Amino acid sequence: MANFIKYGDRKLDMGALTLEQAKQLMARHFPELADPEVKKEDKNGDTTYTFTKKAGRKGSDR
Amino acid sequence: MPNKKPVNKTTDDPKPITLIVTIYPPKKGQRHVMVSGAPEGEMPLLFTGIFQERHALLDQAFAGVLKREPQIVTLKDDKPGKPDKAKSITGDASDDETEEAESKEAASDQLVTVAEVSEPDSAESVPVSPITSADDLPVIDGDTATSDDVQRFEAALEDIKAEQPAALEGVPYYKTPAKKIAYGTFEKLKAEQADAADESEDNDNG
Repeated sequence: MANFIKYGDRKLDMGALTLEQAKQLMARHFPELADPEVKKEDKNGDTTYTFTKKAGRKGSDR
Repeated sequence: MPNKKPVNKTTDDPKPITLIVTIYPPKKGQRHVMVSGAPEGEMPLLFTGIFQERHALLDQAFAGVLKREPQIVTLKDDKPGKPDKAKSITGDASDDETEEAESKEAASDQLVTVAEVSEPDSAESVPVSPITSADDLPVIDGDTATSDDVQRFEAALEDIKAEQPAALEGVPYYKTPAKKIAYGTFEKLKAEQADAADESEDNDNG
């Protein structure tokens, strides 16, 4: 059983990280994921957390 | 002074590598270190270990990022060739149907049927005359038209009658376009001949 982080078309083995730690890690490398939308998916005993950018207001990222 | 070799410069502009070191818990207990590193926009490489191995973890993370293939994150929105749905909000199939119906109406407006052509009510009002042949024409003073002219007119009239479609047979000959032209030409010819006769009379008198 392994946990994965998925963002876009890439996947990363998050090892022993908790979801909160994974969020912090992704937010540091991808600033657009400061407030991410996380979707959990269990498949074949593996858990995949799919990160997506939340749709913000127009011009909010400037 | 020793000759320094120039640093190998790559042709492309590589993005800087970012290494992030996270130590947890900060106080009390066994500390752990998590090192993640990646160039900007790429999926990070992750190494975890105990606090005492922090230097080795940093080296491993840096070397690992350098050696690995670039793992640039591509989002679905960034993929090229995606159709722009916003532009086609109003351009749905119902608009095409409406346009087709409108084009059919326009085509039917431009279509002229034989019935419409042969219908005398829709045409301009033409004064009806009882004249149906050259014999019915009134005698005009000074008319110099010879019997040959009349015969030629009658022959041309018969030819035109033979060429007319059956739908126009009930219409008087002077109401059909071709007959109007023929009749007008005959009248014009007669007027020219009358003018010529008047001029010759004037010359004789003078």
